[in-house]
Amino acid sequence: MFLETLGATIKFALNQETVLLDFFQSMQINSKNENLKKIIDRLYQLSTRNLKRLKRIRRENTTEMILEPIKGLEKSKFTFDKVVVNEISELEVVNCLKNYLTRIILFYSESAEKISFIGEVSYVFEQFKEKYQELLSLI
Amino acid sequence: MNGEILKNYINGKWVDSTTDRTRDVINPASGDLLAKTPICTREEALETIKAAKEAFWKWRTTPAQSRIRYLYDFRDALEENFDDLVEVVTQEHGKTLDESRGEYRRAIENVEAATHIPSLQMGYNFEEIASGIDEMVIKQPLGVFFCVAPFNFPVMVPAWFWPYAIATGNTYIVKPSDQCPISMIKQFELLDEIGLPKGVVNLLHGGAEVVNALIESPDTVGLSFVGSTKIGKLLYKKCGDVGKRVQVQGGAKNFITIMPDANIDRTIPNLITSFFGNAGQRCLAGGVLLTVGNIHNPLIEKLVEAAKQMKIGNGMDEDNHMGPLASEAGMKKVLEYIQKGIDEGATLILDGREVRNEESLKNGFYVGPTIFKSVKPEMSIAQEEIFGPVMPIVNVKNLDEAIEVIHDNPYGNASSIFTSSGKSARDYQYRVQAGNIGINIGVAAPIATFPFSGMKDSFKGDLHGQGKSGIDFFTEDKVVITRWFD
Repeated sequence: MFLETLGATIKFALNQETVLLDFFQSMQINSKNENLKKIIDRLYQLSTRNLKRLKRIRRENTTEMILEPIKGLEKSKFTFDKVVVNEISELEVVNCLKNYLTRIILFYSESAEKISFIGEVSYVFEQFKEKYQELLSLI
Repeated sequence: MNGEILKNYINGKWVDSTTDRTRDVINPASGDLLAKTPICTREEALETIKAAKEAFWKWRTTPAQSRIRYLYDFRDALEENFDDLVEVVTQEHGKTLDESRGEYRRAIENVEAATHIPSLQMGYNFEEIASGIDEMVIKQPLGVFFCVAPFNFPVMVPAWFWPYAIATGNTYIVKPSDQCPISMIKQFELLDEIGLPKGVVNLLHGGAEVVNALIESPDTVGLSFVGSTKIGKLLYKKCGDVGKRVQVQGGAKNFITIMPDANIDRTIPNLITSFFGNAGQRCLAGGVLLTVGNIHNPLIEKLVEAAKQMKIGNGMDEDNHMGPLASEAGMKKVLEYIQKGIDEGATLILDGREVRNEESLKNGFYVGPTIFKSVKPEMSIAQEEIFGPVMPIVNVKNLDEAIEVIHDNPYGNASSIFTSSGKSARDYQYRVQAGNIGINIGVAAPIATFPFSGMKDSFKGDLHGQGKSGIDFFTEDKVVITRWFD
């Protein structure tokens, strides 16, 4: 299954950010590791901001003049399923977190390139990628 | 909406029409009835004009800064309700959600542009034109304007006009498309919420009877029309007969020229958007593809492959690239043109009729991307506006022949060239008689601060919609010459 329109791509991003947000929220409650908790707080704030910005770019940057089809964004490469945090160990949580962030970084990285015909959207995706990369490096 | 009869918005109130004549508003993706548009009467038109006329003086004497605050509020309301509003456009028109978002964005841009009125409506002056005498120009509003809107952009097209009209101090009547009127109802619900003074904007449904009454009334000033050239010319003449201002944006047959030095891979997505976006129902849609010289074969091969990849289906599904035609009549017309193309000897290389065999699309008004090659410029599919996802391809020898073919057509709305040569691009923009020129752009759509141009049979009038032309249309230049004695 491929993401072939701007709307489908942003909808996918919104869904994934929502899964992340739920995950971060449950980790804020369940995690006992203080250092990790601080990173999780930052991730939670980042994801909250991303959701707002995604809705905004969907409203503001969908320009009919350049609504070109998107090619080569395979959904399954970036998809991750919801995990119930309190049923897994802390090590598993960290692994899961790394997996999530790696996939979302990959998604923003590839989609920024594929949507380069709308510079504003591409730029925002690049920013999201960099912020997640920065936080992943701290884990 | 469950098949209810839509209301008019007159003098700040939602009112039922007195008519029992209605037109069904159908969801083109499913064939379901959404609502019924009342085909209002002459008396209702006169009542609406009276309300707009009575509101004029008070509104005209409201300072511009106060007038535009309503537009700021309206703009915020559109942003807040954006996701719901775009769904309404998709449901009643059939275009994809992305296309509806694009349409709404352009409508919002126009509302924003109209808030610049304190600068745009400024006049000018010059002192000492003679000894002790100064002269100035004041741009004054005129009274009641109205628009007759089309179905293909039910939100954006009215927004080319009414925000500028009321920002400059006029009052306004919108006659929305009777085929796609619900989007405009939703906008008027928001206008009602922001508390715009009564009578400043009014919504009146209807057909020819209403339009004739609006034109013939001595209490209206001017008409903005977007629709077919046939109706447009008729209204242009009628307005001329009674001394009304008028801007008529008519039909189109937009030629897209591909030069041998064009970047094929970058060009293909543009062509797909231009010919098949909005299911070909744009007045800026590609109408004929002119391939110059030997780019013809490699281009066609890739083009057909790209068109085959398009997903056709309900516009509410984000994965779809193209929705249905907006009406059954529109679909039948497109199917007739496809048959005509075959009958006149063009070669059908991608048949959009095949999507109609898909079970999930049977109840909607779908036609898929359709491509003809070996088309002659004199064939109907190369001459007439199809208003559907059909791409006739004509191969020409060189740029001169391409321009000749373009100029033989009566329309002149838009035209684009794809090339990597600055010289070819410059020649094209200099010589081609079309109002909106695209250089490596498939849909040459002007933003709100530029006029939406048009030439030949695609535009009748002097001043275009949007931009400074729009301000001039809605105002009169009054010259004042002053001298003060000792």
